[in-house]
Amino acid sequence: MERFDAAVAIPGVWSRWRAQRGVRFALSVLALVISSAIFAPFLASARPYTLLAVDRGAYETSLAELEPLLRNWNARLLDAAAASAALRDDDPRSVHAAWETHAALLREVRAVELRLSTLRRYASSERAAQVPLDALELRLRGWTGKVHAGEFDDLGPASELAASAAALRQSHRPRDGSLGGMRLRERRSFPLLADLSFGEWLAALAWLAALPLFVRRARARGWIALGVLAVLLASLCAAAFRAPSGLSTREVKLGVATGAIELASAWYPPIPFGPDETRMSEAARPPTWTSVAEIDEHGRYVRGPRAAQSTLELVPSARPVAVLPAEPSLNSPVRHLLGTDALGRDVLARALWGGRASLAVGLLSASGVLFLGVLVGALAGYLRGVFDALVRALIAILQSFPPFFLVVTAAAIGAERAASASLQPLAWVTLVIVAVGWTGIARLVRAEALRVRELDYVSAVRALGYSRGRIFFRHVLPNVLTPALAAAAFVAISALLAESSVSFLGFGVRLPDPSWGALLQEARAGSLAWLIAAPGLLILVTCLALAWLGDAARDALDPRESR
Amino acid sequence: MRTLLLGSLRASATLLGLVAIAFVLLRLAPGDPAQLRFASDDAVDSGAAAEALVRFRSEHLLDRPLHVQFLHYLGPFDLSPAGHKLFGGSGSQPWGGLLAGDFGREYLRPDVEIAPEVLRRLSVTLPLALLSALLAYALALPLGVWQGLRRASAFDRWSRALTLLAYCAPVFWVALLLQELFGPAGLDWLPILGLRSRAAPSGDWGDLAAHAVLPIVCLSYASIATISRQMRAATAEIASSDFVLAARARGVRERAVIWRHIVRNALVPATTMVGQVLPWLVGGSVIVETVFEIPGMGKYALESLQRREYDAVAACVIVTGVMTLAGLRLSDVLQSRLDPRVRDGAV
Amino acid sequence: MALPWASSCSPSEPATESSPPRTSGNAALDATAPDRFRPDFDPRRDALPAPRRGGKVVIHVETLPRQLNYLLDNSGVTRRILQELHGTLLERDLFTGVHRPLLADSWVVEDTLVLRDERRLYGELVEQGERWLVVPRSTPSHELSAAVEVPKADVARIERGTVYTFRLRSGIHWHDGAPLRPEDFLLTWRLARIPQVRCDEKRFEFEHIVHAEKLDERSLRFFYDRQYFGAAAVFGALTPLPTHIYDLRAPQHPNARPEATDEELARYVNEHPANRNWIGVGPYRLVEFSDEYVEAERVDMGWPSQDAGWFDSIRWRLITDDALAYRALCAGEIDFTTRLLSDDFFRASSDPEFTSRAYVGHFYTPRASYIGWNLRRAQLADARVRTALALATDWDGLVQSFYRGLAQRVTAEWFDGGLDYDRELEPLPFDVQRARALLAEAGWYDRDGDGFVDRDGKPLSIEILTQAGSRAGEVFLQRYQETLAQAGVRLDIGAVAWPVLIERVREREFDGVYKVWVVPIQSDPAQRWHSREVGTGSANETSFSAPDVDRLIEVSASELDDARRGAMCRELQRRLYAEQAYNYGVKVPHRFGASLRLRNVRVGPVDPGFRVREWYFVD
Repeated sequence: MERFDAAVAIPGVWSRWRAQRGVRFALSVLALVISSAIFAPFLASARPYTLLAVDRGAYETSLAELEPLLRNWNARLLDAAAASAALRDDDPRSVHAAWETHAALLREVRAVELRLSTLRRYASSERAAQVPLDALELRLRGWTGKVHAGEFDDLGPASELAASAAALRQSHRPRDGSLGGMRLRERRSFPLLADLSFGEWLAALAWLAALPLFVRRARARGWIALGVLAVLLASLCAAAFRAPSGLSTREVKLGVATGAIELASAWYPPIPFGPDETRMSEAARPPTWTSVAEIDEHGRYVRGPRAAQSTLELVPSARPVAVLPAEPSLNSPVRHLLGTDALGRDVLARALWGGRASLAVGLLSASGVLFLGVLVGALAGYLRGVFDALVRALIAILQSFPPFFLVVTAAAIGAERAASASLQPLAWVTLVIVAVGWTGIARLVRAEALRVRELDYVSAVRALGYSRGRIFFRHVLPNVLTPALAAAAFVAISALLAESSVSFLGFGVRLPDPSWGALLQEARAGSLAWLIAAPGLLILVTCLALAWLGDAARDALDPRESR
Repeated sequence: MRTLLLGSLRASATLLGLVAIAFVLLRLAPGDPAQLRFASDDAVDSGAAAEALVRFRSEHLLDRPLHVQFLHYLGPFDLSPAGHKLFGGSGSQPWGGLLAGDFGREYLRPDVEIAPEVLRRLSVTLPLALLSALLAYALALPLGVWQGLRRASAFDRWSRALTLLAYCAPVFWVALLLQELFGPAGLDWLPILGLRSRAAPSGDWGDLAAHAVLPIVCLSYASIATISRQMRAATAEIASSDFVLAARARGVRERAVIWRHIVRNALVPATTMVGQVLPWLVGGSVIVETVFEIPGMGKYALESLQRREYDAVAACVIVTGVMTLAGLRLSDVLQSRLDPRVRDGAV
Repeated sequence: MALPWASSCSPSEPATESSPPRTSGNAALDATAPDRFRPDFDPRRDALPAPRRGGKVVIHVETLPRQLNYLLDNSGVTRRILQELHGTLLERDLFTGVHRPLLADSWVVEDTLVLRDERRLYGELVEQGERWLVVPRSTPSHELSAAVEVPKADVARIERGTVYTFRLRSGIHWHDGAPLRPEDFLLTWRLARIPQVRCDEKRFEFEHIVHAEKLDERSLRFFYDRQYFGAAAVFGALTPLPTHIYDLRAPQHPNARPEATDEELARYVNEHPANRNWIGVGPYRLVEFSDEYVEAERVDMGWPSQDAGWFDSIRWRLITDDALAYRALCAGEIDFTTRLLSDDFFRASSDPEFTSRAYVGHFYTPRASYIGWNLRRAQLADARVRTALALATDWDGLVQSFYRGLAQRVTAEWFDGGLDYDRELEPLPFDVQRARALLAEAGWYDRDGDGFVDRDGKPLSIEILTQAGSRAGEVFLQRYQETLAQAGVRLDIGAVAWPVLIERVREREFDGVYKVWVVPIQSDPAQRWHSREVGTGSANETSFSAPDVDRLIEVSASELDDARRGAMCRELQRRLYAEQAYNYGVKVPHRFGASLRLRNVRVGPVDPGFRVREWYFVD
């Protein structure tokens, strides 16, 4: 058999693959699903892209808090002064105490600065408004400079600062109807974009860079494509596995609704609901385009089973649904296209965000399985001997477990331990799927490597005296990839299904993060029929696209099959 | 004789590895069964409970190093304080552990021995799994052969798409959909709960069959997809191979070509699946039995997992592992019967 | 005894803001009326059909008991099943909680008089000027002591209500035919004193029974070591164990080994097959304990007709998924469930599949959800912080949406229908602004600009544990996470397996824990709030400790007068609510669905809330 030259053969396979029926369609479906997961924060979020508004609530709070904060300083100041007076270089405890009180004082300074900057941000730009703020800030700077230098004796009492803060409270109180007061100015901010993590930015950008690769012919760009995909995968995972946000401390929509934020203009995402945004009054609402979802102004259902009045002494309670700014009206068909869950969260938003978890686990564990399987299998086949025997024994053992059973067991018992080690349960599930799943690929690759190492060209390069490492990486490894590539898509499918099954059994994501399997678990636990369809369909469609691509890849890699 | 010996040696080594992995995995889990044993929402305790906890730990060797626990688990010597005199026990319970056929008792229900319990659960799961496997093969083999023989036809395309769909549909989703569709909330054709209705006498097979329909469908559809795809590929490969062409050229009748040359040879790879289908089904039974509330081994395993019954989970893992090994062995045997090359030791 | 809560648990109670609006109709009905939830029946007007024997009733259970020996498995489902399979000395009335005879047909309560030299005299104590008259009131043949007079100067103290003498009902037999004997009751007490017997959940109940004795073949007597309001409940709930089966050392045992050690006996009891194949004295006898159900059939064991049961057999059917229980009720697979989901409960009346077979109703037994805070955590040691955390809890929203109005706020973990519960105490409102203000007062405000409050350079971040898969807990905590964030507090949800949760609470390695208290109708707060219970492993999981609370608990425990004890408990309640060591949640009713074939269904507040033996089929 002739040498299989990756550089020549892969583009051939690539074009054969792309030429097959339905591959383009499957690719675009997959691209769509991945895009929706990657761009979920841009598609479904409670926060606007841009906001031009006066945050009156923040301004008023800052104004009110400034004075008490400054009054607090006196005590801290005395502490710090006392600690620095008691400071002796030979006593580590006194050094520590001085350092602590100093740090505490500086934290208070920071708190004041924060509030001052909020005031400056929204206070009118007229001189009369800004000059007192400037003056206060200047005195603050001088003051903190002395604190930094440890010159506690020269400081005037902090109560002077507090007195000027009290004066500000009068002079800078925001205009309130006829009572007069200061006119505040509108400022622009980007709440949604500011909230994105580095991983999310990277994922979005890498994906934008990767998309053309799907669309246009890529010949020599194979390696670039691989690189971009690797970055994409890594950042997608970083985005999906990021530490929980602890949710938002201040929601824009809520602020606008309560009048704390005076809005000039805002541009919201197409689905103005966040995945974690609860709306208790709208809990467990069917998709709003169905007739049974109609709600009257008291929050009662108009028809359907939810409108039912018990014939006995009880009727289900209801409270009016708060429709916040930027949201579709109460009974608009597009308000909740897929309904809401038991906490009134929008299922569509959760399904979009849930794709991040499911796809990240599926794709990452598939890459892990392929990487580990190919590496171990090829090494075992190439090296033979003890290593090969060990690998074969390990494969035999691992393959004698029913795979899904092992994954569930390992995921269930490991998730809590992982959580206590601040590892995302999903990352643990990924590890488990890789640890259980690599054996199949390894077996295939090992057999291939056993064959390849006996081929003439390998003997030839060996005779040339190349090092074993070079032979392995340059000549053996590229030529044993065929079975792994043919199986790649199916590995991804089983990883995706494994993740969703584990989540369905309740051992997957951490609350309140969504994933497709977890959504289905909620559907079952809460008896919410409309919650069943969407996540299952998303899993199905994603797997179908992958399977189609996998079939095509198999045919492309094995020309006999495509005859 | 030598290969037989070697084979059984290899199998027992694999078994040992399997047991070791299952054991270590479960003992490393957080949540001590001793704690669980003394947990209850209205438990009120003081020094007495703490004492009991310590006693429970020492009785079950939970306070000993992992390797001691493993040896105790493996048997045949009981290493606990009441165990064999050789290991410092009192001698009242000298033998125990896996090698003595003892999987231990549940922690929470100390009167329940795990081995008979697992067997009893298996007697529910295995018939379901075997029926599903039978159904899967009965449908998938002819389907695959037909697809393979009539490649690129409309039938091939559509049935392939359909099997692809089945391959990709998550089983818990399908189970939920079927429950909605055929259960009392939908068409009300089939029962969706358990294996027996309340009024049915124990010998009512019709009732049992009605209850088993949906679980069997859920268990088998994915295997149908896998097997038929494999069968199709094998049939297609053989149908276009040289010896089939040669046979046709020799003027062998088409029917004979199909049956004697193609199907027979295509069956070889399909038999390798026999070993894998059973473990798939047992794995799938975790979900199917949970959704349909069937008291089989899958449900038992999941409940034990939730209750932290380490030994029961380990028993389920080991039993399924043994079944898998047996399945793999079976497929080896089948393959050697069907494949002349394997039979004659050429491969 | 008065009926302290009979009036207050009727549905005519004034509706609080969170309670659902009620229509008229059956609201005025007496809560004790049978079948009062049936749509086709008005107990004031219609007469119940005559009871009829026969039929098999199927009752939903969400989990099967580990075993049926009540000493070894004290779970709710075991208690529910044993109620029909077994018996106790006394039984509590379903509505009033008053004890009435069951296995005992009569009983006498006497007092203890402790002399200065620690000698004890037993009998009814009558005060006569400067003397105490001790009058024995038990049956003449079993006098405690002769009637004596003791000068008050010689008396160290008196302990009222400490000697209980029971006379057993005649003609009761074990299911295997052996007669019920006083030894069987003594065995329970003796086994509970052997540390190796796995009854740690029950053992504390017997802690203060200092002595027990058999008087003759029908009577027995217990001595409690102190005056205690709950003594009657301890004896009343006492359950016999068959001596001829469990007591290896008794002559009645077929393989008696009088020399057996405590340890051998304990092992024998712990692993006895009869723990599953239960042999009891109740009107129903266990016939099958499978993986799907527990089934019992009626036997004639000498029970009077009102307790003998009407059904031929009862089956407790396991259905883990509550949503499926609704379907099973529609399909006629089960006759009774108490675990309908809110949505199923309300849609039932418009679902013809359901209404053709069954109807819905609800009742409360004492159980309340709460978050217990670990007071050993520095950030939670401040009552202002805990109050702020309570103010930031949207309990009302949860009541409205998740429970659809079928739940009520509580301000204590014990039964809210009794004299010991202050119904005037207003629960804290949902007020994030006030929460933020309180946090700022305690020194927690945002210093670093991330929106979360902090102090000493650390953000206020707490983790609350809940049992993984507990739907109410998971729904609540996800909502709580959002409202706490608005108050500037970061919440991590620790959904962990039950054993892990228990272990972490036991080791006090938690910030907060979401749980549900299921307490008896008369509950002693000592285990939860007394400072002597502080320490790893005890039920005082918050590590709460306050001398005045300790004193209140001690004094109220020995107070036998209901009104006076009630006043003390109400004070305790107000005191504890101000401390907010628990973030008190809601009490949730049992939403039941019952087959229309069932008659004489009564539901009340005493655990488990219903009596299967009263019901019957009419077809």
